[in-house]
Amino acid sequence: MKRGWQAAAVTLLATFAFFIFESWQLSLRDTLGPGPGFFPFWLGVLGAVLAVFLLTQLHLNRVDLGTEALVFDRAGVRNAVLVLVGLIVATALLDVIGFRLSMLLLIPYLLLVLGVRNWVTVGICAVAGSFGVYYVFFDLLKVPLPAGIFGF
Amino acid sequence: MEGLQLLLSGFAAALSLQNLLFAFAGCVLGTLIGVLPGLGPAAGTAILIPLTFHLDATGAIIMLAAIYYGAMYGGTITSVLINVPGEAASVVTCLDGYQMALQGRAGTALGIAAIGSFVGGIFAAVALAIVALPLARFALAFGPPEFFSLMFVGLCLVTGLAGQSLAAALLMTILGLLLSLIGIDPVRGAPRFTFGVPELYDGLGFVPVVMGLFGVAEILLIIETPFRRMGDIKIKGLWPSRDEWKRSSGAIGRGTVIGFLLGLIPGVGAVIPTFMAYIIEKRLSKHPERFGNGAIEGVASPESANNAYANGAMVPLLVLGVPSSPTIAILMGAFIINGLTPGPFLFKERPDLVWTVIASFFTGNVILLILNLPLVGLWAKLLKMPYQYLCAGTLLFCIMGAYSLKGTVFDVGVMLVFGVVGYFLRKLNMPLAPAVLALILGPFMEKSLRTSLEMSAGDFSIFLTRPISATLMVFAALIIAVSAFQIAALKSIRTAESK
Amino acid sequence: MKITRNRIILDFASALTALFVLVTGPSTAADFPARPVQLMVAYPAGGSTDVAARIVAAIAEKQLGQTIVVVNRGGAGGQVGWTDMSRARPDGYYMGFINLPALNTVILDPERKAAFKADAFVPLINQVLDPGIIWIKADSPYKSLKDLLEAAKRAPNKISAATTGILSDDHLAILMAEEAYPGAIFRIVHLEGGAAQLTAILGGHIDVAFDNVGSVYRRVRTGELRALAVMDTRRSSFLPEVPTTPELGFPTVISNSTRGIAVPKGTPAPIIKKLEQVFKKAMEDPEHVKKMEEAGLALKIMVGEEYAKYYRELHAKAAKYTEWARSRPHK
Repeated sequence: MKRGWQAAAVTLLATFAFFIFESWQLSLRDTLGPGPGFFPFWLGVLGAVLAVFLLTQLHLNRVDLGTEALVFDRAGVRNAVLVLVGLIVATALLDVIGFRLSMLLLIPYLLLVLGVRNWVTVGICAVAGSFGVYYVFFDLLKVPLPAGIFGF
Repeated sequence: MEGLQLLLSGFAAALSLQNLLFAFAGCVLGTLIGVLPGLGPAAGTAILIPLTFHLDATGAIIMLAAIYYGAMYGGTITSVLINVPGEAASVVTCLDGYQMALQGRAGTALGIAAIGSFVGGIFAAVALAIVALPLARFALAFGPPEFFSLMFVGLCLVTGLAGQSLAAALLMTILGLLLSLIGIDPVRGAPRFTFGVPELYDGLGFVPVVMGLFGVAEILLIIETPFRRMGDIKIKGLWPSRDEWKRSSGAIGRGTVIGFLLGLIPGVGAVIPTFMAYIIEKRLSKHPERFGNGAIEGVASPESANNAYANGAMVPLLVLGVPSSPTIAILMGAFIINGLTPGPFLFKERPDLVWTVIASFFTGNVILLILNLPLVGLWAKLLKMPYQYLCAGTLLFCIMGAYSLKGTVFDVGVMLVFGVVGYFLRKLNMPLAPAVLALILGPFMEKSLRTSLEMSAGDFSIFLTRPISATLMVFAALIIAVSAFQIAALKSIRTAESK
Repeated sequence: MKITRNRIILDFASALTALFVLVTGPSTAADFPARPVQLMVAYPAGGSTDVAARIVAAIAEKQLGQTIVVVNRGGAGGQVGWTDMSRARPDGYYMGFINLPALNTVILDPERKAAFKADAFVPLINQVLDPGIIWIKADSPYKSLKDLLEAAKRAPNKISAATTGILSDDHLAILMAEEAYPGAIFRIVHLEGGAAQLTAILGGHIDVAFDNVGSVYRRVRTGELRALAVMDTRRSSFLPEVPTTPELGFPTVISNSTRGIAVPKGTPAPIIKKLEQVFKKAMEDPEHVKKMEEAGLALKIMVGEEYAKYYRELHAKAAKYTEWARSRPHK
């Protein structure tokens, strides 16, 4: 857990450094008091100081990290990554092939990755989740949903 | 008293079969819309406005108002069941509501949410009916400097969300504030931290970020260890225990007052009252460590706050004609499309209409309760679905919800990115709530700060020379002092114990 | 055998080509629109642009023969929506409302880093021209516009004036007023939208507000607010008792906000013509006129070249004031 927190603190430090750098490019002061870069700059500085403080506290083991250990379940993480990849691909495809087709591909993919083997159920969910949902929300309720380049 | 008489005739009209039907339809539609994550009351109301074109003015407004608070409750359902905030104001309910669901108490959580919402709504409607005008005048005294000071107080209260490590909470707060500054600078109009990506010109978007941090992250966690998280959720009884009733009633009372008062101040928005109510409840509690782990007050408090807010926000709308939040602005648009101008003269010209609408807030809240309480058990059973379908379904709705916000795939991408971020933060047990509060307060604070300085031509003392603002600043200083004292005291106890 | 196989391939290829052309080929005015069209509003739902858009869309739909979906793409004072439109496919299925001079100032202000230039859009038809108005609390000490300007001159940078956004038509109007009354300097405060102005003025936090007739005329009529002047060449039909700036001796202080429909550059001419016809008919429809009247929005229909000319002229005028706004010492 300590390693994890250290990693997080370093990431935060890097993020704050980015904000400090970018704010410096914007004007910190203009004719009417603080400019657009003023607050992000000082917030970034404050954050960086706190991040360094946290790192030192962690180093000196003065942070109460609880008793739970940081454990990653290998098989579980593999599934989560697969799901994430599927989500990213489906999202990228949303504007290309439209909502219905993207979901028609995504839903079976998700169910299969997570271990469902009943093809009938997978099929039903795929159709219901893509065309069915589209019908209810887009046609009936007029909620905006992506149409893809073919217009459907 | 003339007011009472008008209210009674308002009731007579509100209880007409037609108006009751409109209120009912509104509640049902609103709940359905609220259940779709992301699509909040604002979008739902806007989408359904054309439906009301064919109705008379009173009916249209009754229905739209019902959609509004129906959607608020719909948002709660998804917050409790799948940790996905159905809309911005339901974020806080996720904190304890979902934990209760994991303990098999989803039904209880939803039930107390319904009851809390009902009580909050009714009391606020009563207050609205009785003290609308003088309170509205008071609310007008809140200019940009008072606004900033109020937000600042809210930020200082974040220490109440700290949990184990105050440093981590503060870091999350600052991260949230910085993220909230992404977008076009409100004063000079220059894009900040946007990498030239136009979709970022309006900022990251609170709802996609929160859907990712809470909803998608939770799904990823479930996928990683399904049996540890969803293994054997035994649905326990629906009824809260006596002790829980006692705790909830206090929470509901306080939440109602906070929600209503904040609703009077135009521009506050629905999220902030829920946070404030939650934090204050946690601070006043004898067992603050229970919050975040399934404390029933953690659900009762924000739920009553947000319904009391919804009704409280009607005061500036009806009395002054000023909308408090984007959703209320849409309601106001509905008024205008129907040829009415909300404001003091509406009270004088069409008292029948105004009082009928107010009376329908009562009936609407009752209908919502009657509609939702019996269904609570059914919703809770949904969690017994095999986790694969629950995950796939949730992700489907999240994608749909995120896209529907602005009709752009970008928001879905933001949600996914923050889903990953949220996953890691949860694995590390780092507190999410401070970041979320900061995300919502950030833009308000910067805007009101810069506007206040425009008003004072750069003079910072404006915050201390105006009475209300000065009082709030003193209050903030007190909060910081008390927190510092508590931390120092805890530290000395710990070092004393370790010796 | 060979012949048959080649035949099959040829048939298949031509079928695919036909399908491809059918699906992605250019639409002609005859079969346009073949599916629902999008009408984008660059502001959040409920605002006056949005209200007017929904009213006209509901009526034009019937003429067009396809659903018109009103899409809100709010943010950054309209910049988000207009950026979106500038990148949309110019096939007639995506059109949007442009608000002038807001669009002009977004393009002209280098700080905004707009991703598009003035020629990225083809103006089709204008719907609303909402004249600017200067208003105050009912019990305010200023009795006339001259009073106000004199006060701003005697106490420069002390009288606070609210706009509905940076470089909005209101902002430019304040500068025009200062130009017309040398020495008068207002302390300009940028708020977001008319509702914020209401609370600020009624609460006594700000002295005067510059906005548009459509947002406040009802309250002026009821006496809750008082209007000092309407910044147009002739009196507003909604507020006939309020004098115009030319009448009061300030003929150069003319300001308004127009909202009209445009399409991305490159949209085929026959489609443009068809859209212009459809919307012109819809806007002249008595139901449309009535609903706009109820909403307090003054119609000013300008079609095609007339609208394009207005756009160019306004752009030039906005350039002058944008430059001044940026170089002004007291922002």
